[in-house]
Amino acid sequence: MDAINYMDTNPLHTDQLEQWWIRALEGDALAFKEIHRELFGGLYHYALKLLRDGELANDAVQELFVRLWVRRGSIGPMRRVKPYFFTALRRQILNQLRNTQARALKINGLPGPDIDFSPEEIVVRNEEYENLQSRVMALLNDLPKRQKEVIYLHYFEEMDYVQIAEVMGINYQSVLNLTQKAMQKLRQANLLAILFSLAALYRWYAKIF
Amino acid sequence: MDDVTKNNMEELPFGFRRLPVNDALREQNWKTVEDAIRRAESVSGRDRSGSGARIIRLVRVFAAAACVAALGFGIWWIGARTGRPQYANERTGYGEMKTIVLPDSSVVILNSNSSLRIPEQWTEAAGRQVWLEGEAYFQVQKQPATVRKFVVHTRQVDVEVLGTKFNVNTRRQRAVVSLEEGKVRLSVHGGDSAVLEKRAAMVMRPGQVFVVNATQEPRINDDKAVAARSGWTRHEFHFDSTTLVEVAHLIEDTYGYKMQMADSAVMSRFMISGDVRVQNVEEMARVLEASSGYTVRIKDKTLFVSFH
Repeated sequence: MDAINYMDTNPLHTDQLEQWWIRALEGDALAFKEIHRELFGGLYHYALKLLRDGELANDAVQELFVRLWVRRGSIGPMRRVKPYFFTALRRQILNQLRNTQARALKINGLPGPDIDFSPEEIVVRNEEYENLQSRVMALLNDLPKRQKEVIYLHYFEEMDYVQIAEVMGINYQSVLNLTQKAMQKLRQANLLAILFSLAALYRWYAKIF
Repeated sequence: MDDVTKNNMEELPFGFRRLPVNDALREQNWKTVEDAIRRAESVSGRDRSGSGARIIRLVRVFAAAACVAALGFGIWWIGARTGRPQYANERTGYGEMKTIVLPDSSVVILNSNSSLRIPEQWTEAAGRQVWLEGEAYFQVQKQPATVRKFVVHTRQVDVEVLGTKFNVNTRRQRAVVSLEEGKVRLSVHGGDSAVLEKRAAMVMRPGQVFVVNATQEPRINDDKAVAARSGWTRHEFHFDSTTLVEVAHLIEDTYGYKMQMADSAVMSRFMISGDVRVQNVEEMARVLEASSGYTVRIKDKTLFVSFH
């Protein structure tokens, strides 16, 4: 698990975004639109994870883009465009949730800043293991929320540890620790997979003999 | 972007898949962003067509100041455009009820002794907004997200609607919002209480009731009888261990009649339950008589309750 392996080398995510941002700084709304096109999916899903409400997530991303456009002068050129947008979105949503929570102690079903994985988001190697999928999901959703967020940003947003540290506002070492802890638990899924294949083998044998 | 994100199956026997985003959703989202930034641009009225490092530097240096100026100008501009809008005032007297169809074909049923202020023209800049005093039931027309939200302003709370059926009651120094369908966002006004911050927003789900008054923290509770709170639109009243004091308030708010009893302590102890359907105060008096065993006499806009 070398951090270097996960460095984001996709040109779309680095140079290209940076170029678009510079053009956006000059007032080029089309370049800003390109950034929106590129990042919307990721930002929307992240907002959805944190807010658990499509409409609110949609609003949050809108607000983010409008705000960053208006404030772009004071932001200036930057190299890490994607993590910047994610950081800003996360902060905006946490503020929003904190305001809500501080106020309404008795609200029922208040969305918490906790991530839930859904079965459609998990791909198991062998489609036979439908059970495995639900076990994996349970395993994932059982993780503490910060571990879940690290896993989410790493695997869904393909961020490296430096970027995750920036987005979550924690230091690099903490990201490593969180990832390691999460991975330890998730490796249990390996065990599950072996058990499932043994069970399949057994059924196969039983059919033949 | 690939369907399956960074495949980690060599470490784990499973991978992750990022769910695709609907193109229409993305485009609609961008359109709203674009409208907003275009408004901001046209307000600042500056030419950003130049390019080159020098311009960028200039832009960087002046952007902050310009943004402040633009924002100020924007506020003024919006103010100037909406500063003197014409309003229509809809009022109801005691015992009267009125159904109003708004320009976007949303329907409002205004309860007795209430008023609703409606801008005569709903410009895009001003959005869909109404101001309520008293009580009303709203059935708001759902609109694409690009259209400005529908907002009901009251003294205590602003209700931002995301397409929906709900009841707002602002009588007696408090506000009660009950939601039957859809979703609304609430912003409680600051007022004198430092605890309440205007910008803080709460989201309500169907079947919930929100209450705010001068003395308590605003709160949201589940209420199984949410639909009964708009029963008045059908001349129906829902009593569930309701004290005579509350009934008296209801009668005063609805018909403008007071209620009096020789032994006033009884009023807070005596409770009635059940659904009644009455068209006017006389019928209400007869129902009370029948259910309580008391005699109810009406004189000088007052219901005199006595035990005979």
